[in-house]
Amino acid sequence: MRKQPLSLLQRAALLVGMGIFVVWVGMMVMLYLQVAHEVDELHYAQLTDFGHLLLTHLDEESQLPNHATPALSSHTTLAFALYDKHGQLLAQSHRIALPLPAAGSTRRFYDQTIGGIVWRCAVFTDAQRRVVVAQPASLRQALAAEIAIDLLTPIGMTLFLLLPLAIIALWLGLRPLRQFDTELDARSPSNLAPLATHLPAEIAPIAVRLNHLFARIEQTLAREKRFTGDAAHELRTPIAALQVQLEVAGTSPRPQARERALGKMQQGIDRLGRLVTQLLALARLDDNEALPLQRIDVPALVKQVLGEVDVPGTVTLINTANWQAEPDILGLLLRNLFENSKRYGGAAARLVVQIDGAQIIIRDFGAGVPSEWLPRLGERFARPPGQTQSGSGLGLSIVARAAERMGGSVRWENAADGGFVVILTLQSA
Amino acid sequence: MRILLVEDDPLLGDGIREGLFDAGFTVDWLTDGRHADTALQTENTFDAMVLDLNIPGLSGLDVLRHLRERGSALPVLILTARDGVTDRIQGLDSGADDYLTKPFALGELAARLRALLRRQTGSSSHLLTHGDIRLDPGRQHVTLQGEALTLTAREYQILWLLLRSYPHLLSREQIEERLYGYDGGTESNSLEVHLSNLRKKLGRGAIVNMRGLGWRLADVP
Repeated sequence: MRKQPLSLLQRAALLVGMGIFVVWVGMMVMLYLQVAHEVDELHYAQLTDFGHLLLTHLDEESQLPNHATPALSSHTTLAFALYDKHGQLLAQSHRIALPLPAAGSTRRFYDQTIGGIVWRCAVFTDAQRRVVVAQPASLRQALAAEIAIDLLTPIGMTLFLLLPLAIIALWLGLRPLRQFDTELDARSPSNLAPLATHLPAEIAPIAVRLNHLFARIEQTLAREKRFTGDAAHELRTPIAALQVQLEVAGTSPRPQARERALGKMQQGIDRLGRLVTQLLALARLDDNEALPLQRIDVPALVKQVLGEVDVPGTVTLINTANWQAEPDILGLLLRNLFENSKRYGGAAARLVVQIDGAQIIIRDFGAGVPSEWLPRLGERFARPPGQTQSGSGLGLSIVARAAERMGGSVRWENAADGGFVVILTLQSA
Repeated sequence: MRILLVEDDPLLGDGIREGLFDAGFTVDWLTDGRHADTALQTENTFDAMVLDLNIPGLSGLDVLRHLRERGSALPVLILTARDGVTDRIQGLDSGADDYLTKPFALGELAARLRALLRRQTGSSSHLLTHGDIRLDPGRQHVTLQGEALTLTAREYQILWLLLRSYPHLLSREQIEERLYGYDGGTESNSLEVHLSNLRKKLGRGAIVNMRGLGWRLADVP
């Protein structure tokens, strides 16, 4: 099972929470370092004051009670040891005397480990004596940490109070998105009116794209609807003809009229069958996914279809090519073209097919088509007036749609010396 | 009863012509709107028109509009494949008297035509009567003094014309045009033959002939 992606609100809240945490940790580190530095400076100042005080007020006569001195420990807050200029210990605050720094050291402040405790030491010198003062380093660290924690607690609380506020703000900020969703959700499937695009910049492109999609769907639907309407309309007349002829065949008092009507009914049924076949062909051309094109032997296919349609024709191959098409669709296309020529090509209908590379030129020797009707011929159910032949007006729209589907093209014209010419261009590799 | 049929579909037009002929109508069939327009301007002996709206040349609605603009009250029945309410309203508003949607039954077309023709004469009854003669156009049935009368199709049509035009005279041209349509009569004296047979069946004095002017039914005493 695929994991449900996080909602935008969850994602944003998580990111904001992580951001707040990182900021808080960073502040903590910086604050601790800053406080530690300040505490250090304070301690140095303290040690310096203490050292000078000792040098000023202690002299050889000062008696220090050596026996009462406590041991050095981490609880010691301040210790010292006084030496004469020869390094002889004169006085000490604790049982273990703080040693002098190593000879040659010029540093005033230094750290020294005595009895497992790190001491921060300072050494001061006057004309006769040297004094070493020290405090445990842990004291300074504890103080710095304490100050840092005291400062960070309210800051941390403030930062984490920000998180719910940020979530509320995000929730409010996402409201246009929710409204957009509600609007889409409330839409009826038939409502393809464009969405309002007065929206925040982040969602507006979605609305624009949806509107494009809606417009395309609407066009497709309108085309389908028009086609269904046209088809229903075109079926009515042949059915009416059949019904009327059936009534004549059944009820006319004249025997010859009854017999004639039966013949007419046969014609009517043939016509209706052809119309339905063509409607289905057109519907399939529109609905089915186009198949990959295959290599086709066009001259052989042309001859085969000419034979099936039973119309005489000559096929001339001027240039061969590696023709690419869907075999069934190309067959359907040629069959419709040839049947058209057979029907409208006059009494002695015949065809001349020239194959010149990707171009296939098919001409008949009929009356052609009134020139003002040429551009409308590919329209569905369009038939020039004055037709005596029964036809559906679908043949050439099937041809045009089939050519388009195979990535080819088709155009037609009247030949200069009469007859109808169709120029089909196929894909060729 | 001469009907102008304007229908471009060869099978449907043929069926309507045959069917209406059997129902006692004379049908002139045209397949182009422009030809229909011309025929309506030059002929005035049509009793009604059956008009398909979707025809080449000139649309059915235009043919109808031109007809009404010329002030003609010819009863018009529209045939169409469009069955939307707006289409029907448009057809009727353009001056049609009735409307049939394809597909339809021939019997209904004939009945509606008879109803249109009856309304045209201002009669509320579907029967045409004159004295003892009674003609039922729906059943193509004629009685004389209550007795059924056997008439040929032509005799029936002539009687129907005489009944409808009474008390006016009908000229030879008027009768022949309505009887034979554009196809013309078979022989020049065939009308006399039909009239003579009809006289025999209705009684000697039933039809009055004014020489050179035409015929009409005798007045009822």
